[in-house]
Amino acid sequence: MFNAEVFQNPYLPQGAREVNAIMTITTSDSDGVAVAAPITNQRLFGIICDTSGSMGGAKMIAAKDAIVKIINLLPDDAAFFVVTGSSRAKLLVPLVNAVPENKMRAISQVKEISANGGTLMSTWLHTALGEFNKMPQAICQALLLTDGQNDLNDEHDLTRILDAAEGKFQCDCRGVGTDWRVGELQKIAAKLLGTTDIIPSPDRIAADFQEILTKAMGKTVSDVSLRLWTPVGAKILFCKQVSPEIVDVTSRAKVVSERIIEYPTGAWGSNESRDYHFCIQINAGNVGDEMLAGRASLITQTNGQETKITEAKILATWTEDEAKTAKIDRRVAHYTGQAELSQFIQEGLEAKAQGNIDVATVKLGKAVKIAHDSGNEATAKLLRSVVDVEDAAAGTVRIKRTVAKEDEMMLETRSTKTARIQK
Amino acid sequence: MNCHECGGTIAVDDRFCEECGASLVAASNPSSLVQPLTVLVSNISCQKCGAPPAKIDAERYCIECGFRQAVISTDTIELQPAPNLAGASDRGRRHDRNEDAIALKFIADDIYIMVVCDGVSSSQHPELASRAAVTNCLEAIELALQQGIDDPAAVICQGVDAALQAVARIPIDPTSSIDPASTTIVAALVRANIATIGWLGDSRAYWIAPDKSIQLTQDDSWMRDAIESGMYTPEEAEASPYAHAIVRWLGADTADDGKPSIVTFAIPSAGYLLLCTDGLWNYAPDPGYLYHLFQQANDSHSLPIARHLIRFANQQGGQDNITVGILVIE
Repeated sequence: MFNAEVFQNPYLPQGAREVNAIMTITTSDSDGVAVAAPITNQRLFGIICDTSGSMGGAKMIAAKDAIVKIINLLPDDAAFFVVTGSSRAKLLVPLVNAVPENKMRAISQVKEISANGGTLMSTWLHTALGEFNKMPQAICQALLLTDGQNDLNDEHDLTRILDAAEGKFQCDCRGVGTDWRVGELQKIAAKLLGTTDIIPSPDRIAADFQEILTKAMGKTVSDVSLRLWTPVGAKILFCKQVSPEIVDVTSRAKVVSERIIEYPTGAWGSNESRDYHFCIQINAGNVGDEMLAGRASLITQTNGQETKITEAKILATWTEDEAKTAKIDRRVAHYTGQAELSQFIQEGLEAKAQGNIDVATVKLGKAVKIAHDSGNEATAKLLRSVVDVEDAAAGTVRIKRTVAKEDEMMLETRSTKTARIQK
Repeated sequence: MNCHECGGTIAVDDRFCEECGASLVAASNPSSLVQPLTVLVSNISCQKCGAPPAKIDAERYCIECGFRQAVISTDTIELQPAPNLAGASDRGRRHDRNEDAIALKFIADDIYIMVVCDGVSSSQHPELASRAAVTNCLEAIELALQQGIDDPAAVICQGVDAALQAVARIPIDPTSSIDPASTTIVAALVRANIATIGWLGDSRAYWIAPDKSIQLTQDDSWMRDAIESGMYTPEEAEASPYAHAIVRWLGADTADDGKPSIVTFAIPSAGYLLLCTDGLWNYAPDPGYLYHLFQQANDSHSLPIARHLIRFANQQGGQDNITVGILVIE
């Protein structure tokens, strides 16, 4: 069951035009209640593993071991394939059902993997897309593991393959070690509706892979898009996923009709919860006017058929009552703060990288304060590996003299993770 | 809370009593400007943007402009911005919605603004035209007064011009053969016992007093033109099917002909200034008879008289929307 709820203060003072709303979408096991969305039973999981020269040694051994483990964990009714990649991609295990004999054969192939060559990720994704295209009705998900940065000459091809793969499969990206580029993997993951994270040491690969697989196999509803209707004259200033992590999806809007756009949200599992922040500029009304500033709905497509799963309204009411207009909705305030937190971290780390310690101290200090105030303990902990905190409530910090590169990368990749509002 | 009319239970935010339909706005907030408008969700265009009725969703939101349609009863709408200034607008008995509109404003003890409009039924969105006209006319007159414009005729012209611009802005359905949104207008500015009245169409102003009641405006109608031309006797003209056709109005199609006729009237004594639509005067065109009706009200206060006039027109058949605005001069 999908459930959508909007949190906002609909009251605007005279002349105001900006509406902010948080939409919380939750799914739950349907406890005997009819399931609102058509369930897709077919699941296809792609494993994409970097086998360039730099992967050799401990990383390759750990990666192979982790792949073997998740192949063993694949449910019998799923399908999978394995692509290994360096300067070229190799379809190591073509698409097969995850029945025991296929798994056995795949595992013996995985054990033969060796590392050498460069890194041209576009070729890996291209080969993976070919396999996903064989099962377009399935919930298509992949994980991509790399340890280095992509060949600079591959940028154009990578952009092209990402455009082609968008909407065809989702992909979680993982970087092992500290020689990969956060921005690069984030670009791939963002386009393919996946997550990005660092695996600081090879011995953690297996656990991380299992977590990804478990989440992937829990998806039951595919190709869900978030549709937003807005009235004449409205402008969507931004649309951000704000929980579990911040993803600005404003630019991913696709036009459905004159008043309707949609954002892809990928596949959903049960017991998931995501929050979105809409900021819409509308034509001002007169005091006393009520307006539907937006109608957000979740749509799933199965076999070319659209099903509306759930819907929520974003409203605006103009009033002269200042007691009503002055209040900011606490969820809107909370997530506005979480977005600032993420931004301060990015800017602080950038300043630090440029040697601008004063700016870095101020920015990261502000981040520490917001993390403290909003109860985002996970981010606060990551921040403490980069700064010494003197007074969290005041945001007084000192940049640590020596910071482990992996700690800094972890802070960078995970700074977008938000805390939910405290009850 | 309880309704001031019938004592029925009402909620704080109610604009009208659910029991008797009485306006609660005028009673609780006498200075507010209430715009008479009617909504039947099924067959009325968007109040804001004029989108066709099919664009109004079940919760009354327009799926074009997003604005929610106000639900206001089609029964009498009343307003009383000052003890001596009141108005009422009523759907009548035959029409399924009220296309008239009224706006009144008390500025100071001797300064009042009154505007009455009658949307032209044969035009697109007459109810929007009349509402846009009264609101914008009143605002523009106020603004002109604030700007210190001294000539009352110029003030009235500014008000009517603002009304015209607002009406002309109402979207036109180019596929429709019906005229663009149109309305009549009669607007009065009363300052230091001088009434300056401008009009287009056949909504009227009267001076009602014991010694001499008179009609202050001259209809822009086919009937009057016909009589004045000498080609028809008053009886012949009145019998013509064109008798009530108006020859001047406010609309996108009259943008170059929006200058109102103006009359200035020095208020001679105690009495009443009455602005009304043809929903009333069709049943009582004669000023002397109107005075008689005022007497019948048995109450010299503005709102009871307005109610009495509405009741009278409905008793006579209520063939059209009825709107009256009354200023009591003591």
